[in-house]
Amino acid sequence: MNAESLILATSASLMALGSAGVLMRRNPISMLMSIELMLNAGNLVLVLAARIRGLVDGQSAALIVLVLAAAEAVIGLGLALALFRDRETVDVDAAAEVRG
Amino acid sequence: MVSALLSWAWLFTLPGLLLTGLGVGRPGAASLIGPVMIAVVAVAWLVGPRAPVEVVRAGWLPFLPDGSFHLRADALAAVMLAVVGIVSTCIYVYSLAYMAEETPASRRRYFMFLDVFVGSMAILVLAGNLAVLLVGWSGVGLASFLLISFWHDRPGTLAAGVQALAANAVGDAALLLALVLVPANCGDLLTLQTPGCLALPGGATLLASLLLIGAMAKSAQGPLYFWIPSAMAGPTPVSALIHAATMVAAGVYLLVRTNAVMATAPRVAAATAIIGVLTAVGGGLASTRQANLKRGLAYSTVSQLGYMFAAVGFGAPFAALFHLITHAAFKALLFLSAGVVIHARHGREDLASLGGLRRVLPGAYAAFLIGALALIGVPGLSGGFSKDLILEAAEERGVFGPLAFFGLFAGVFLTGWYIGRLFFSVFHGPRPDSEPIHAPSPLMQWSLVPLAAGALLLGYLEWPRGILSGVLGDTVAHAEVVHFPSLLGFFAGALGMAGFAIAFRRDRAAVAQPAAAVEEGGWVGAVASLTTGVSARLISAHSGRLGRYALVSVLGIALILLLGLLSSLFGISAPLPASPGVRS
Amino acid sequence: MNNAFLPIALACAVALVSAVGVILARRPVHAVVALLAHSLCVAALFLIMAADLVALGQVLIYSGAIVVLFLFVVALLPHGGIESVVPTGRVVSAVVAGAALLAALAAGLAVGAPTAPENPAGGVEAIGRSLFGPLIVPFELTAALLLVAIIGAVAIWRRQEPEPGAKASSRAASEGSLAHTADAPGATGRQRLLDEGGPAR
Repeated sequence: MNAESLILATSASLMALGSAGVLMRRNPISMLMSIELMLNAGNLVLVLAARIRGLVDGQSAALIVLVLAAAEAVIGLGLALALFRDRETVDVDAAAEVRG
Repeated sequence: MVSALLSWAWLFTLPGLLLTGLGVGRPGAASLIGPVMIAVVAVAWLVGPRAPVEVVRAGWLPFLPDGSFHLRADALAAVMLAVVGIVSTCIYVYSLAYMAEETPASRRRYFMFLDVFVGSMAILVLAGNLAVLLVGWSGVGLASFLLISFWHDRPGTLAAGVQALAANAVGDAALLLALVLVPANCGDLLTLQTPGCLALPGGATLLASLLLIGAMAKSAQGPLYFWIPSAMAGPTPVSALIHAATMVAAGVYLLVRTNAVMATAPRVAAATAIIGVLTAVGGGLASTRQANLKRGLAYSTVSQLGYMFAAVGFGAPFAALFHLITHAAFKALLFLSAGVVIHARHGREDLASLGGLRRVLPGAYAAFLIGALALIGVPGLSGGFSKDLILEAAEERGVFGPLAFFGLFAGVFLTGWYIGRLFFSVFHGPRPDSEPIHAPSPLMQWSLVPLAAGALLLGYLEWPRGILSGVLGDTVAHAEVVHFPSLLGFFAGALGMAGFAIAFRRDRAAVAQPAAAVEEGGWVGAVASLTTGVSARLISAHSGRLGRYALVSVLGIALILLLGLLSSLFGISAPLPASPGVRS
Repeated sequence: MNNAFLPIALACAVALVSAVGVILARRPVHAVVALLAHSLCVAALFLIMAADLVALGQVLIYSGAIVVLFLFVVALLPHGGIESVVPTGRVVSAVVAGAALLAALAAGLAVGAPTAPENPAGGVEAIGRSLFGPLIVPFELTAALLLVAIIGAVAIWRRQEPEPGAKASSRAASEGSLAHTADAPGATGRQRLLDEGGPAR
C-alpha cells in the first residue's frame, strides 16, 4: 500500500465515521462536529487529487470548502443554541414539529 | 352547381336569421331554412359530383401571414356539414316544441342565436386557412356563450356562459398565436406541415402544441373540461347541438384536418393520446358521480371526446372522425330524450326527482335506450363500430405500451356503468311523486326518429363496404379497416353491458344516494380522494426527525456509489478519462 | 510521496483515532479536543502533500476559529451539553449506514491505486491564479455565503428575543404555539444561560 492509497483509505474511513456520528448522536453540537469530519475527508481527497493530477484547482476548491465549513459551523451552532433556548434540551429529536 | 353551392353554405342561415329577426311568420319556422339547406346541399354534394371547390380572395386581412379569405369545400367539409345540417335540423324542429312556452320575442332571440351558431360552424368547417377558421372558431364560442346564458335571469347562467367564454378564450389565444407565428403565406390548413411553414421558432412542436391547446379548449379536454358541466345551464336542445354533437367536436375536426402537422411532432401526438385517455377515463369516472341528468351526460361527452383525441394521438384520424359522426347522432339522441324527460317533469333535472318514467314516456324510453346502447358500443350499433376502430388503433399503436389501450378499454366499462345509472334512475324504479307529467308533443318525439336511425345504422357506412372512407378519399388519412364481427368488439361490448347490468342491479336508492352526496364532485373529487388515500399511507415517512432523514440520505448515497461502481465495472457507462499518474 | 510514508501513516492513524474520539465522546468538551487533534493531523497531511496554503487555512480556520467556536458554544450550554444515553437502535442504524458507506467507498478504492508525481505543482501564486481565474465564480460566491451566514446567525439568535416590556405575554404566546417540552415554564433556556454566565457577562 502506497501513501496515496493510505490517504484515500483514511478519507473514506473519515467519511464513514462522520456519517455514523451524525446518525448516532442526538446532540446538535456532536452532529456538527461529525459533519466537520466529513468535510475534512472531502478536503483530503481534493488536495490529494490536486497533488496527483498536478493541478492546483483541487487546492483552491479545498480552500473554498474551508470557508463553507466555517459558515456551516456558525449557522449550525446558532441553530443549536436557538434550539436549546427554545426547548431547554440538546436533543434534535425534540424538534420534530415539521412532520406529516 | 352543387359544388359551388356548398362553398356558400356559411351564408345559408342568413335569410332565416333576417326573417326571424324581422318577425316574419311563426317564431323559428323561418330559421329552419338554414340547416335544411345545409343538410340538403351537403348530402347532394356527397352523393353527387364530389368535386372539391376552393374559394380564395387574397388580401382580405393583409396584415396577417396568410390573410386571404380562403374556403375549401372538400369531402371532409361536406361530411361535417352534413352532420351539422342533419343534427341541427332535428334540433331546430325539436326546439319549436321545446321552447313553445317561451314568449315569442324570447323564441325569436333563441332561433337567431342558433342561426349564428350554425353559420359560424359552417365557416369553421369550410375554412381553408387559419384566419377564416378563427372567425368561425370565435363565432361558435360566442354563440355558445349567448345560448348558455339564454335564460339570463336565472341564477348562475351568466356565470356559466362566462366560464365557457373563458375556456374558449384559451383556445382562441392559442390559435391566434399560431396564426401570427407562421411564416408568410403559410396558413392553409392543408400545407401547414410543409418544411417552409414549420420554420417558425419552436418548429413543428410549437405549432402542433398550439393547435392541440386550441382543440383542447374547444373540446373540453384535460384541465379545460370544466366549462362543459356548467354549460348545461342552457336549454337542453342547445346542450344537444352545441355541447354534445357539433361545437365541442370542432376541436377533433381541427386535429383531423391538420393531422399532418401532428404527424411531424410525435411528442405532441403522444401528449394528445395521453390527454385523450386520461380525459376519457376521468370523464367516465366523473359521470358516475353526478346527481344531475344533464351533467351526467355532459361528462359522458367529455369522455367520448377523449376517445376521439386518443385516436388522433394514435395517428388514426379516420377513427376519430368516424366516432365524431356516430357520437353526434347518439349523443344528440340521448340529450333530446333527456330533454323530453325534463320537459315532462317541468324542468326537473336532478336524478332524485326523476324516476319510473318508463310507462308514461315510452318514446323517450326507447330513444334513450337506443342512444345508451350505441354509446356503450354494443356490436352492430353505430357506436360499436367506431369505438372498436379506436380501440384497435390503441392496441396497434398504443402509447406507453398497452397502458393507453387498457385505459380506453376500462373506459368502456365505465361508459356502461354511468349511462346505465342514468338510464335506470330516470326510467325505472318508483315515481318520486304523483305530479302529472307534461306530455311531449308529437313534433318533439318525431324529431328523435332520424337521430335514432343514425344511432342504429351509421356504423354500416363503413361495413361491409367503406362508403365513408371512400367518400372522404385522401382528405383524411385512413389505414383503419372496420372488422365486424370482431373478438375485440365483442369483448368491449360485453364489458360495457356488464357495467350496464351492474348499474341495473344497484338499488335505485343506492344509485341516487352517492349522487346526492357528491354534487360537485366530478373527477376532481375522485382525484382528491385518491390523493388523501395515498398521503395517509405516506405520512409516516415524514417523521420530522433529523436522524431518520440523514439515515435515508446516507444509505441512498451508498447505494448510488455502489450502482455507479457496478455500472463502470461492467462497462455500462464510459470509463473515466485516463489521467497522468493513475495506474490501473 | 512514498519517501514520507511514515509521517503520513502516523498522521492518518492519529486523525482516525481522534475522529473516533469525536463521535464517541460523551462530553462535548472531550469531543472538541479530539476534533482539534484531528484537524491538526489533517493540516499535517496537507503540508506533506505540498498544499501549504490549505494547511495554513486548516490551522487558522479550523483549529483556530471553528474549534474555538465549538468550545464557546459548549461552554454556553449547561452541563457542557451532555446528552442522554444513546438508544441501541440508533447505534445499530448508525453502524450499518456507516459500514455501507465505507463498503461503497472501499469498493471504489479497489478499482485502482493512484500515484503522485514527485515534483509537486503549485504554490500560492498558482492557487491565486486558479481562484481568480477559472474558479472566480465560486470564489466570489463564498463572499455572499459568508455575508448570508453572518446575517443568518444574528437573525437566528435575535428572532425569539422577547421585547422589553412585553416579556410575559410574548413568552406565553410562544409556549402556546410551539407546545415544547419545557419542564420549567418560568425560566427559558436563554434566561438560564444568562443566570449561569452567558454572553452578557
